[in-house]
Amino acid sequence: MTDHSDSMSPSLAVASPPGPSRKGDTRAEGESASGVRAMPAPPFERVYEDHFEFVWRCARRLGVGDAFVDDVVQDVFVVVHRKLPEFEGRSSLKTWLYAIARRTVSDHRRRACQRRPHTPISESMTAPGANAEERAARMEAAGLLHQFLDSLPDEQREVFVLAELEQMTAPEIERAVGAKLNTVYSRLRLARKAFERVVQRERAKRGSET
Amino acid sequence: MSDGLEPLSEEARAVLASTEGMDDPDPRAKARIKRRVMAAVAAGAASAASAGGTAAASAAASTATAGAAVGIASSGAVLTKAALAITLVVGSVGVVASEPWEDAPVEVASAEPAPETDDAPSAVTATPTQAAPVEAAVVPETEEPDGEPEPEAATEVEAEPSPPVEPARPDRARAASEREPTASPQPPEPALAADALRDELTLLTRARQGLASGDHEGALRALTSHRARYPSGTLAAERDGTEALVLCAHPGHDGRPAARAFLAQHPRSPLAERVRGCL
Repeated sequence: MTDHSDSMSPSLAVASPPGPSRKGDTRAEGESASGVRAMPAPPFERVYEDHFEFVWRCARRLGVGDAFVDDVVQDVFVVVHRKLPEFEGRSSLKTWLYAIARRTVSDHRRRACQRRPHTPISESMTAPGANAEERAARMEAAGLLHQFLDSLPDEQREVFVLAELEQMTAPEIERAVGAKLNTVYSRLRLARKAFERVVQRERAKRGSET
Repeated sequence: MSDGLEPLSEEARAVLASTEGMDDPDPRAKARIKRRVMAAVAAGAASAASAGGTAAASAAASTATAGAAVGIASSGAVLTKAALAITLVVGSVGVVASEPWEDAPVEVASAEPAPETDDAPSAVTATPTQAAPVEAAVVPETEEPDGEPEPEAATEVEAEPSPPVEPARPDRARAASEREPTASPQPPEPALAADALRDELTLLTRARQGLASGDHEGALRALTSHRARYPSGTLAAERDGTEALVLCAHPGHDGRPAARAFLAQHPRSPLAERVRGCL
């Protein structure tokens, strides 16, 4: 980002993380063409239609506060619109999108000094459920999840989100976050352990309450 | 994920399963954000929700408040220089093009000498959400699945005056509000100005689409038309930058001279970073 910090205000840089001089660097390092057929980039409309929810969820689960999700998601798709012609299909679209999303989120948090827990139980959270009791339980679980995510180091957080919540495979995550496969596994293992602890603690708490 | 790791316990998976859908966007978010994305893209502003973009949007809000034609006329005078903060509303079709160009909003408001670049972030206190009314007011309603109108439509813009710009320098804020036309004081041929700008924007959009889709010839045609009709138009710098990008992408051309010329003239353009990639 140093290349334009002299000419633009720092905050202006938020949505243009991948500069053209580093063409294609939104894709993870070490990504290979193996197993992924190169194909022309799909039209933006379809990308937006198919992946809007994914990007939104990622932003939320990577810790973007309610008030900023709209802006971050917008920034992501503006970058996507701009860079889509460069998408060569060497990684999956989802992987590519995630790489843009994580960078945008990271810029956003750096800019806003936002490393603070957001409020997961909010009006932005819809809680579809048959009855009030089920809704309450789901809200509680969501609260627990977000509290847990906030407690994780960022690198474990994203691996946990992608693996457990977005059902991405380890090789996909490897490309999306630009870490080695072994590292992905190790982060996931740590995050799972931490989550188990949270669940156990919660059960114990509930047990003592009843 | 079959990874050979110890999987999550059933209980933990149940907790995760029960959170399904909880982080999904509300049903209106998709259309709402799409409009904002397309407005930002149309403006060529790569950083739509950044402070600069927001500031431009705020400036646009103040002009939009006073009405379309007045907005275009009042800013037209200073647009051609360094600032591009364009509000273009023509009939029922509105397009907002707000370009954070060399600290544009402040200059538009005050017509003072350009402030230091460092000034820009502090000059604006607007929060990202404050851009919303603008978007709601001027971007055409192309899709509203449930047929329900946006609640924060044009009325909100009228009810909610533009946010205070740069409270630290009240003189500028005042200048801004003074410039903000509240009635319709006979703008000089607003229709013409609006038509021209719309035409410029159409050509530029066509060029960008050509660039994006690999139709370089089509893009060049649009750019050539633009140059012929508006040699020093409001979007002339945009045109030159886009042309450099097209020529760089065109297998039959060498875009570097155009890129160098553009960068020499507009080193701080939002397009500069992309154009620099050609070299």
